[in-house]
Amino acid sequence: MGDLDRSELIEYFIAEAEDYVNTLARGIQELEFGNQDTAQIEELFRAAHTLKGAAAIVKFNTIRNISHKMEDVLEALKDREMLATQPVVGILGYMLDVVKDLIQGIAEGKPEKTEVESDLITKAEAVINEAKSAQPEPSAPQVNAAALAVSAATSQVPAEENKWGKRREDSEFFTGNFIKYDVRKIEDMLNLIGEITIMKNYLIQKTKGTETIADEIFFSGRRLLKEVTNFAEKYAYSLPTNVKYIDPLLSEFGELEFDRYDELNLFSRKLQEITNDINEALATLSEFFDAFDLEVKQIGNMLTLLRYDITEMRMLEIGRLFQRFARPVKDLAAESGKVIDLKITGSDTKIDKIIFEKLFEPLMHIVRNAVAHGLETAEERISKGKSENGTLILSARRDGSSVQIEISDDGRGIDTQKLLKQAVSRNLLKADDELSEEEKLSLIFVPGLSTSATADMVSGRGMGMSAVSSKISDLSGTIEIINSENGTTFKIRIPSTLAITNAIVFKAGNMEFLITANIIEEVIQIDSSSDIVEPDMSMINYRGKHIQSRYFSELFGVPKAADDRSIKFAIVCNISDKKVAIIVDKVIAQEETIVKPLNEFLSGLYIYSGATISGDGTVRFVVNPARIFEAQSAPVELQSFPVAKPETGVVLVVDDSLSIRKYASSFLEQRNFTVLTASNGLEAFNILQDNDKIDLIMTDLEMPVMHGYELIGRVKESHKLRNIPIVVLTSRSADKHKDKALSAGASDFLVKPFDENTLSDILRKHFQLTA
Amino acid sequence: MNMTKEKSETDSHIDDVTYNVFKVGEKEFLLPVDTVREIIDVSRIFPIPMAPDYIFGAVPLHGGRVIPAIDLSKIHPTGEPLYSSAKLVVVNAGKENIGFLSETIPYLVSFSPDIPVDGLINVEEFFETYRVKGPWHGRP
Repeated sequence: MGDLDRSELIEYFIAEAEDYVNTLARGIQELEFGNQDTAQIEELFRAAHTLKGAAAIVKFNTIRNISHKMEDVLEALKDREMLATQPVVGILGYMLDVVKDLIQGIAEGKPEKTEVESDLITKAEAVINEAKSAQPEPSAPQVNAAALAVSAATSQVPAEENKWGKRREDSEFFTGNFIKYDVRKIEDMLNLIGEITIMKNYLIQKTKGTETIADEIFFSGRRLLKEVTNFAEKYAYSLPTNVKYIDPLLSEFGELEFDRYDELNLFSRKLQEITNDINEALATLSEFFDAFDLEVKQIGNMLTLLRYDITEMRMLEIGRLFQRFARPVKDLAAESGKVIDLKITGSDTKIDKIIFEKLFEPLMHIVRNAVAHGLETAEERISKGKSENGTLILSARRDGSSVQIEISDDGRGIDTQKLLKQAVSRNLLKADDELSEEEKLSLIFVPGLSTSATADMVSGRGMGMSAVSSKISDLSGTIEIINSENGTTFKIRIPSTLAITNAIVFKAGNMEFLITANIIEEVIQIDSSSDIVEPDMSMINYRGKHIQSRYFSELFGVPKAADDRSIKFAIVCNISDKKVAIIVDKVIAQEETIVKPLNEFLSGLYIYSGATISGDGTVRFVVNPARIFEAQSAPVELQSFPVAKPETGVVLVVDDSLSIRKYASSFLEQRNFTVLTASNGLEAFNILQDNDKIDLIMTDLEMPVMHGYELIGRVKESHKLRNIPIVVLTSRSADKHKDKALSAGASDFLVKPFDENTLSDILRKHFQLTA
Repeated sequence: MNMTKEKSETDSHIDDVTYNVFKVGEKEFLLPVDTVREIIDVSRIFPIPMAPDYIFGAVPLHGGRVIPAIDLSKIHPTGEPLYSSAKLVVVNAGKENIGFLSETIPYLVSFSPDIPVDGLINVEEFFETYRVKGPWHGRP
């Protein structure tokens, strides 16, 4: 990501400002009704405070200053320095109204208005001073009595008429840009879009059918016109003289009777005219269909956009999935006496919620294998001349409609010799079989083969690489391994969403099936004589190499079509590290379609990954090629892949303001840091517990659940965490806060809105960065 | 045309259990009425290559879902069925639906719960027993 421009930050600001403004609005109303509960005022205070911080980050200084003043008023209320008298509550409400107006203006894209500020602040100060001086020695019963008095006062004076001007009547503030929504509703919408897409495809099909009919009529019309013209030419002029010779009967007619032929003449001319009219109409019809076609296509495009937007709504950041591996990696490393650095990149890559959930298990298996078997102990690493700590990198990036995930370790690599021995001992291969390194490596996907001699505690709980491969293929994904003595990389490609699938439709016999496009390498025509290596079509020649293939109709027992031809098509697919081909009778089309998961009753038929319904209501099954070729080894092709760029360090940003988290993240990510975020102290502390590799903590002080001071205290108490430097990032500029934070153990103190250079200086101090 | 189930209120006692009765060949099968979701006309059933023989094919439902149509004559000795104007009795099995082919429009019947009934299908049990275990697998 990296570049987060100001307009994007403003979006975040508006989203969160809405929440705070609504909290304040409700709270101020409560105050008006005389509810002066301390916890309530505390909440209001925090809302004003966070609003101030968020506004400062996007440099909306008027909002910042007004909310700062609100914070002052609320603080005085909180500390019982004054009472929530009617003027006090009035000025709070009025300030909030101004803030609402300002935010509304920003949401509409106007610059922030500044002229209201000074007058308002002066008024507010006057009210505060008055209220404070009017305050008697505070004691609890008195406060309650005063509150009651206030309550009585406000009930007498309608809010609309207070002296700060007319109050807005709507208490719910809403700029109209953000709402929260139930994910299941999104699911429903996607289903609906799916049905509309099916209807649209049906419409296109029907239109095509109608066009064919129009063509036929057009053709018939032309024939009719031709016939009529011929007829007319033949009889119109020649009749009077020639007809006698053609038909002896006609010779009986006298000259006077020839006017009948004139009628015939007229009739043929009329026919000609009508036929021309029909043709004219058909031409118009054809134009209509052209335009109609275009419009349906436009609907299609809009549907695609709509679907894309809605699909995006249920996408999750993959970083949340990667985060779940941090703890197990740490525990497993500790169990096996290893020290492992876990690095995560591309956390913000988004992936469909459904895929997100199904990826955990297979990825966990690969991660476990890497920690338990791939990475060596410190002694072994040192003896090999490697760095003492093993490194495990989880990375993700978007590539078109797919997401590429890589799990990479710098361990000893997969022992292919061991795999080969196992395969031989299980009679899967002969001892003298010549296998390339890649072929040996692909044995890892054969069920039952493993590099670990015994099912130990760690990998014994796993599912086996064959199952990993199946799980990935069930998600229409592919897996590839890059292996050497210096480490192993698993490269997984999966579609970023399962909602709509781009698929190739093919025909076997009279039935149609689909294969998802993202696993297809290429579709080629094959000629039985030259390309088919084995007569049973179990192997074909593909670009000079022999690859495994299957003749679909025969394997699936689909009855042959009447027009069985010798030329077939091979759909070449990428599956678990190899290329294979499905030979089909005919490839029909590529289309975007809604694939529904297979009915549970049929789920054992894992050669299908789902079913779809075509435009005309035909049920078609989606074929999973990986499952067809399961448990068989074949040649492998490998590609190079880019190495993840080294990171500068891992920083945990703790702030309850989304704007600040986003801003700090983008600032740090641009400088190659890996950023973890938490919205309060407790969340941060949990992340710290699960994560060994945090180099720096940046924290706010005022936060819900657990505030910054407590977080600093807890970190400094922890033997494991106490050495992590803590930078305090706060809008509390007073020295007492600074002193308190620094004495609690913070190493730096930064006042929001912070200056980028100051932050850079602090980072440089902790990370030895080049300027 | 969809015919939703309708509990017949006439001459049934409060404690009686109501069943949906459908016919395959010579045999009648009973389903507890609350397991039946709907009864639909099937004009087209699509073959499922690799499925066991008791799965006649796949039938599309509304919303793009596809359910299996089960031919009970391949499981029980019923005699040759006549599915020419078949109905599909769609039943709820957990979160899923499956369908049983019937030669006739099913009808409702109520019995006192202590009368043992013949040909009763326990949907959950059926689902677990006959769900497809794998391709090339055949019947359980």
